[in-house]
Amino acid sequence: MSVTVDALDELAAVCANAAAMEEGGLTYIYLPRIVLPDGGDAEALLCLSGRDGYPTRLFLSRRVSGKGNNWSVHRIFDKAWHTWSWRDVPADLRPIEVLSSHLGALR
Amino acid sequence: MRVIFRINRPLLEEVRRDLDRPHEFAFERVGFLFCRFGALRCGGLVVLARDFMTVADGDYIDDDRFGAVIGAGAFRRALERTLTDALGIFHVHMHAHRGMPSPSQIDLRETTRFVPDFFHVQGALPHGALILSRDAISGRVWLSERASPMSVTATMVVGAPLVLGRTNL
Amino acid sequence: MSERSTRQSFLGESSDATLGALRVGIVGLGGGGSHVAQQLAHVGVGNYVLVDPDRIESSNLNRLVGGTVADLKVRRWKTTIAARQIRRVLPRARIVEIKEEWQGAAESFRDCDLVLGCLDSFAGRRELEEAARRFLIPYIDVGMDVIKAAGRYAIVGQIALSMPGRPCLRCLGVVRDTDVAAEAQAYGAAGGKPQVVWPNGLLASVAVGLAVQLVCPWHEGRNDMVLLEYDGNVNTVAVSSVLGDVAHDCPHFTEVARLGDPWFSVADVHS
Repeated sequence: MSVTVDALDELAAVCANAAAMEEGGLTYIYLPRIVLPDGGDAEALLCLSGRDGYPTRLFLSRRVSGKGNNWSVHRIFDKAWHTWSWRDVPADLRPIEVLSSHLGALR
Repeated sequence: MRVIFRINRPLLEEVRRDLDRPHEFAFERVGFLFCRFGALRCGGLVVLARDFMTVADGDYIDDDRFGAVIGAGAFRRALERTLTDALGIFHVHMHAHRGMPSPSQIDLRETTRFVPDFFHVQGALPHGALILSRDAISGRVWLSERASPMSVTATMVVGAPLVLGRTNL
Repeated sequence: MSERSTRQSFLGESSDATLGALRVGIVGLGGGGSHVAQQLAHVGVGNYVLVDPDRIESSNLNRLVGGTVADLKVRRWKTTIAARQIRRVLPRARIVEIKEEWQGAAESFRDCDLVLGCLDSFAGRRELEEAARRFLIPYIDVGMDVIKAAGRYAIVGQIALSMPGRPCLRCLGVVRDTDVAAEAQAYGAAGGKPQVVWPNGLLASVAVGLAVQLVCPWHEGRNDMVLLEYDGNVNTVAVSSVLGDVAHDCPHFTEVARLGDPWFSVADVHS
């Protein structure tokens, strides 16, 4: 699945220098810095394609303690990325809505 | 500093086959290997060979002062590639003997002259020069235009068998 | 050749030096990895990067080679147990212990010549293979399972070689997308499944033999495509029939961006 320019532009409103990156047939949107509900920030990868049985997934450069369930760590683009179990955020939402939905688990 | 160079066996064989071909007037052939990189946590660099670009017969210049002289066009084509795919460029040629190849004085002088120029086009990645023998690889890597080159300290030909070469620092 | 290696002189005159200089990453120091570490030490491998985030638990004692009751009392790190086993045989071995998830420390085995993965998780094995292939490092995957079907148990396992450029775990059907998805839906709970010592030992032995043949080829058999299947009920290890149907060149890791560190900066290189 390719990422549209519109999607990148929309996400650029919350994160400068958002960029599409591909690995293993999947496209991720790399967000160099997003602000998390705990007030801190992190790098993020937003996967808008089905991965590991989830329709979309958000990965962060760090865990958020006390929030989110069943954290796991993955190696993507040769870095460690953390994610949690947060089912069924559909891919047909706007990318900004997908991002917001995933972050909802950390509020 | 540790510098590890790795290349898949099929790619190495492709390079050797190309450099082994006779040329009408050049004593030896040269080519370009394109590489990707990684830093080592405990210090050093790993260089990963990705692709080879042959130098066409017509790009050689007839000059019997040197084993091989190639024209600006060959360099330009190689340098274009470093930009499109974020690759470092390594000039490569072969010495027709077994054992660790050592650069001649001409090799040293010429590579010191042209490798730093690679940074004018692709300034963000290392570049260098490699020499193959029948059974070994040596090389030098520059991290920047003004840096002194570092020698490759270990090599790995990836395949079965895995061939590991190490030089003393 | 050193006296300790005289009984393996058939590996070649330079095998002592080759094995002594070899640097091997072992990811997962549980039932399989503990066997691998011990055997590599006996063979004479001189350098190790040992990665495991866990400490020994009582349920490990049925299979973790080198693990003792005393270790259990102090909740010893699995990497430390493996390092101790290695040094008992090879006191001068150089060992790096990483007591965290390998995903956060993969930079530490970029300079390994070989990586052996002894992980339970499908996702972990797929990602470890990717991490190895990025740096053109051959990866040997060791997997074992006790499965129950129709009320009966079966022990199965496999050893797969993922040689950069040659068939990968996906090509070989060892790690399928459906396996990874099912595992994720179960929140990645790969642990807690039945595990016993003897199949771990057998598979680890075959993996070590494969590793030795790669660096000290002592016979002429071709081994850049390896998938061996273990049937623990009839006690056989056989070449998988899958190899006959697999293309020689892997189509899965061909993009330039999948080689090397995509975030590489010259500024990261230090002496």
